[in-house]
Amino acid sequence: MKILIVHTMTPFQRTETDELAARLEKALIIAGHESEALRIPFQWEPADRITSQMLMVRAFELWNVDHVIAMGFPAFLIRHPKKTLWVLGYEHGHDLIDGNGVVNRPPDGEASELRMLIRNAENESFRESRRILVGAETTRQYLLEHNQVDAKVLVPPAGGADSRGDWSPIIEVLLR
Amino acid sequence: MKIALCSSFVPFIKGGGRNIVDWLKPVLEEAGHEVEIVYLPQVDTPDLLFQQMMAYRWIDLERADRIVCFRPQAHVMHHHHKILWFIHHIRAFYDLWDSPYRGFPDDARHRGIREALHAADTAALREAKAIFTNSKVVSNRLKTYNAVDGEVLFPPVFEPGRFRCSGFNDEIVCISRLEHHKRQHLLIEALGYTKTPVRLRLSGASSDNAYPNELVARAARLGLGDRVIIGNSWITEEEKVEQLAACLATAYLPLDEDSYGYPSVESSHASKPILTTFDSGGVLELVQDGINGYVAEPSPAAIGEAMDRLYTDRARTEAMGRNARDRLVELNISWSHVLQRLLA
Amino acid sequence: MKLVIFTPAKKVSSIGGCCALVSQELVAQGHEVTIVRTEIEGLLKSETHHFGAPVLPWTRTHQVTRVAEDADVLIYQIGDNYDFHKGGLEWLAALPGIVILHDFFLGHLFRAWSDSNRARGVEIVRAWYGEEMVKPFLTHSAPETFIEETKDRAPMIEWVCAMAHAVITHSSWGCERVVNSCAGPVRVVPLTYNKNLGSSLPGGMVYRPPGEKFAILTIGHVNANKRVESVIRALGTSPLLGGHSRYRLVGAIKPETATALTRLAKENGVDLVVSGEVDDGALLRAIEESDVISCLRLPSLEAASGSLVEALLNGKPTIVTDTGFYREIPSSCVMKIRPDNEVADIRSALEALFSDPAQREAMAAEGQRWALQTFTTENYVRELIHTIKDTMKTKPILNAVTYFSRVLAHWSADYDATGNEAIMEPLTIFGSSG
Repeated sequence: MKILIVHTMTPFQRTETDELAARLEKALIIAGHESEALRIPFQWEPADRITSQMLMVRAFELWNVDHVIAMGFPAFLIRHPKKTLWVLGYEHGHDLIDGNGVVNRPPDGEASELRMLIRNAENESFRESRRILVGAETTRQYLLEHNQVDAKVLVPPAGGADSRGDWSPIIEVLLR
Repeated sequence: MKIALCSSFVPFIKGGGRNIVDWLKPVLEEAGHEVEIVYLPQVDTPDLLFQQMMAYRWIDLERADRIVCFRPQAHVMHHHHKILWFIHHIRAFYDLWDSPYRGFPDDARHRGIREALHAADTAALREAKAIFTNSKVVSNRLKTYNAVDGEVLFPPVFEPGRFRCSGFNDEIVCISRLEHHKRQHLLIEALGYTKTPVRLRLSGASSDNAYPNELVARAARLGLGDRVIIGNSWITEEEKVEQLAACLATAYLPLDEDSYGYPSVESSHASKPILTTFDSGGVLELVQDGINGYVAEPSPAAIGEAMDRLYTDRARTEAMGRNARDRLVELNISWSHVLQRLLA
Repeated sequence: MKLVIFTPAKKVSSIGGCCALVSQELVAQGHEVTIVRTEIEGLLKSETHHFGAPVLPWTRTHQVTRVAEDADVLIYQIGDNYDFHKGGLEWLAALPGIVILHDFFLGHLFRAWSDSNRARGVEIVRAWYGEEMVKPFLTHSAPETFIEETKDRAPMIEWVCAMAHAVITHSSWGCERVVNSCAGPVRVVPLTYNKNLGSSLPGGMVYRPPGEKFAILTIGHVNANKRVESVIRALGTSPLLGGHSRYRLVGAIKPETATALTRLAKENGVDLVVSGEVDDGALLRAIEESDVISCLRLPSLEAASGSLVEALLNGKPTIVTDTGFYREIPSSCVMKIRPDNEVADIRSALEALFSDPAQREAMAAEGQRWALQTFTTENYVRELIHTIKDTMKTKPILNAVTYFSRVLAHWSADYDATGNEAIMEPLTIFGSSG
């Protein structure tokens, strides 16, 4: 199966998501699939560019892909009929633009408008996904509270991708 | 400097469009730059072109000091320092409009899309600080259709220092994907016309088995026996180096290709002459008849005759091999030249 | 190209008449045309102009859908008359296309349409013009009052143009509102008219036996905006013209209007002939027998005037109001009357024309020459094809913009993307429509 891992990246910065996506890609190949990553540049700042970047992801056309595993906002807005969300260490959009400990705070009126936009976009994406998985219980609680979505916790295995045993149950859940 | 290399891709399909990007990255890093590769999806469906172009316009790469854009629609990206290394248009709306490859009707709607695309492409091209192309063919198209100039910057191959020449055996090798438009079938037919014991080796994978099977059947029909080897699989880089080092010459005769093609450059690095045909497009920007290879008429008889000449006139074959290597210098096909131009 | 044109087709429709010329020319050039006639249900059986193309009533939903889906372009003729354009409106809302706008005031069309679409109608007026403009559309005031209340502040042009992929209209005076509401290209193209209507005599001058009165003519439905009263007053105050002229009105007229005008003429000592509605032959004769045609209009709301074009093509000296479409006619071709000095200007214009037959003839000849080369079907069709091509070029961009608007509307009902520079600015390379 051709499995595309779609995740957000910060240009010129190697993040945990990059690492995890690389490990997953390798594990999927070991498991006999074809796998590749689509890394979508995204930044939370400045806030007035968030909407255009969301639209950008929504407009991408995927072809020659059997299954998508999407990680992180706004990467998971991508359209595909077989899409599994795996939300890990998600810096949630609501918080960021609320200004909770984050500098990127647009003027008050715009913040609530943007927050609503992000939440609706998230919900749309959640509805069209086959499964919604999260990396930790706290994220599960968060989505339950803010998006009324009951996700399943799927903790990524520690260590390298070489150990097939670690990854096979994870892959089994991701592709179910 | 922070440099983003931006291109489009179709997931799980590898090809020349990715090599130019992937090979440039280590070269830039070695020169001390920070490099990020950004591949984004793109399909050529006419009705979806513009929403995808708009999406590309919204990509935020302000963190980069400059961006280098390759395959469409990456050329429309918005950046204060945009360099284009333009490798092709969306050809169905350009040079392939009047060809069987268009794939949609020539009606008012598609003509409208074509007009709009040409206008948007031209506007996007004009934003660039510099425009390079991978061949004269592409530069000419930019001039014809968009009235902009593009400097030809021939893409070098990956780690050219690996290639060497260990001698000249009896084998003409063609290292390229087995696809109908690469015309390996012409080579097999040509071998049937040869009068010398010259041999042929085809190395490369195919997207499906139909064409390779046809090649095998053709060789059998002509009774070529072990004079031809058809290897329908991707060979390793090491195997490639070995085959090129030992062969008599290489053959590369795609139908009207945009660029000179990596196989012919690799052959030149290994000091091996190239057999091609006069309808092979960009390959002719590299190969000069009788100097660094043979440019034959695209018929089995003429190609077979050139194969015999390569076999018979060894001294000339070897001299042409040396010329092939010199030709790379003449055309400035080197990473140092690429860096110098891209970073100017 | 395959074109579907939505138009009134009934014989008396002058829009239908223009459209028939265009349709015939398109067919002659090898295009495939289907006419969808758009009158209200009760008029769909009436005799039609000759289009040289199949004519379907707009009410045959399946057939219309089929030809529309198969077409390269849909064209809608829209004027301020609901009885003629009902079907065009219905289909324009469902399948947008190029609008040919014949009037810069669509208040009557809108008011009749909103009778059966009340809530939506109020919403549309409010969105374009604000709450205070809603009332005139709800109360059924007299036509003159209604026009007066709405023509400047709520002409309803935007309502139709916003649905259009492109707009063609016939003069530029009312274009600002068109440009502001239509996302696609807007083009001004001189009206097309049947030049074979022209009189048999060169320059259109008719031999008039000595002693015959100087003949002034007004054509068309007699409303206050045709300024008949002012012409009567001007004639009444002119010793030169008083006893030597005859003023004739040809066109539908209400009995009470006829009575009032006759009385006014009598008081002013003017020889007035009210002919009422006549057939084409009689109309042509009336034109031929006239010395001057009055094409005065105030207020002037149309994008072009068929009767003026007809007068010019027939080589008749013409007086017009210096406003709207009429202002755009070269001054060598007509005499222009200032609205704020109307009666005096009419009087001096008519006196000049009366006393100087050579000037009269020269102006008429110039007007005819200009009209013959301006209001041609060939030019009209050429411009139409240009507009279609422009529209086709803008459409993929508008479609993409529409796609993103829908995505945004899903995410937030009232998000205003046009205010977000990060969204809009990068799109400027796609042209003004981005």
